Amino acid sequence: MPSRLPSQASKSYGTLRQPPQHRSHHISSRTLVRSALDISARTSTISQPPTFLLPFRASLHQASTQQAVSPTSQFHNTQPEIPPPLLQTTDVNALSPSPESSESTSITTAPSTTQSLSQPLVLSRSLQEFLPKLCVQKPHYIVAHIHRFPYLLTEGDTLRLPFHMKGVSPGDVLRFNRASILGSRDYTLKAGTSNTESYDAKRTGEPTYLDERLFECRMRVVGLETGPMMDKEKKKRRNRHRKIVHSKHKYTVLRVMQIKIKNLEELNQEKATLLLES
Amino acid sequence: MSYFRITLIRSAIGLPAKSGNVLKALGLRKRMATVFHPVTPSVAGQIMKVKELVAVSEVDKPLTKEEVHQERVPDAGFYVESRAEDMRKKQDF
Repeated sequence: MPSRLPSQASKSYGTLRQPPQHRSHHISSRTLVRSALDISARTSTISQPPTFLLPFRASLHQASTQQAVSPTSQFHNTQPEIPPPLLQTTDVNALSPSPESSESTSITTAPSTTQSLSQPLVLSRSLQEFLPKLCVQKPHYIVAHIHRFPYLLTEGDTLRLPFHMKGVSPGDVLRFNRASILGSRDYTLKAGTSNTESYDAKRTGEPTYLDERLFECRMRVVGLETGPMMDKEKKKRRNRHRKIVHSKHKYTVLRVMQIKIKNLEELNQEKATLLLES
Repeated sequence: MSYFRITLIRSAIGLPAKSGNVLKALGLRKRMATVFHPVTPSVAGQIMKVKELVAVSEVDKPLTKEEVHQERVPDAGFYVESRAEDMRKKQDF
């Protein structure tokens, strides 16, 4: 294998979860062994290219135009044998052609629990193509929203919420059901943007979320953490009276038990909720 | 009967008093306030006077103040799947 990795790409490894030796400049024997192991480990029906053939830039960035352009252009220079659509990320809006855009938005918009569960889950063609690949490529990350605030999580993470969650006690299992992004190293499933024309809905409305039937994100309540005691002196001018206000904040600590992206078979087994467009 | 849903997007500060008075007549006191008025020619004329300041849509039913507020309350994004207490009780049995 020629070393075909541009040096600039190696700078963006900070956010990656995979060990970096897969993409080193000089392919050592260890890398080859590891990549061979990767191939043999994947005995599933979905054949993924070995790790050193996959795009080396994780699709953690947001802009869909960049996602579509950068991996393919880099690979056209060097390695034309890989089909370009395989390397692109599964952005629902970017990949689906224009007649499908209405279906793909209907996957992604899930305003509330009851409403989204009553509607059938529609999978666009591009989602059907790329969801299996996203499923087999672990570990996954999720951008889950709690009270509209996003938290980027992977399995095993500890999350200290910036507030004290009422009504839960240590040991409880929570399910997060609002997520805007699901992803692995090479694939990203992103919620589409809502096409609303009303100004106030744009400003005040919820962000668009992925359908909650696509994934399972379980969190365990680990406990409560407290911040330091803070003292604030309250004093008025020309007055000797002073009051000291003490405050000590509590924060709920959660741990990510499981992030599971459901496979097509599991989605098919769900009763009466799936419409496949093919 | 349909209603106008009118939201004040831009304030009338610095504008002629006429515009401010129209907003006052519509019941819009501060930015992002939302009011509902029946679709009549007079209301349409009032909206036309301040059309640069408000966002208008037509709805079937007027919402109460609480319902308008509830639209802005974010989704919790989680629910409790199993409680530790219940699990302990199950183990005891």
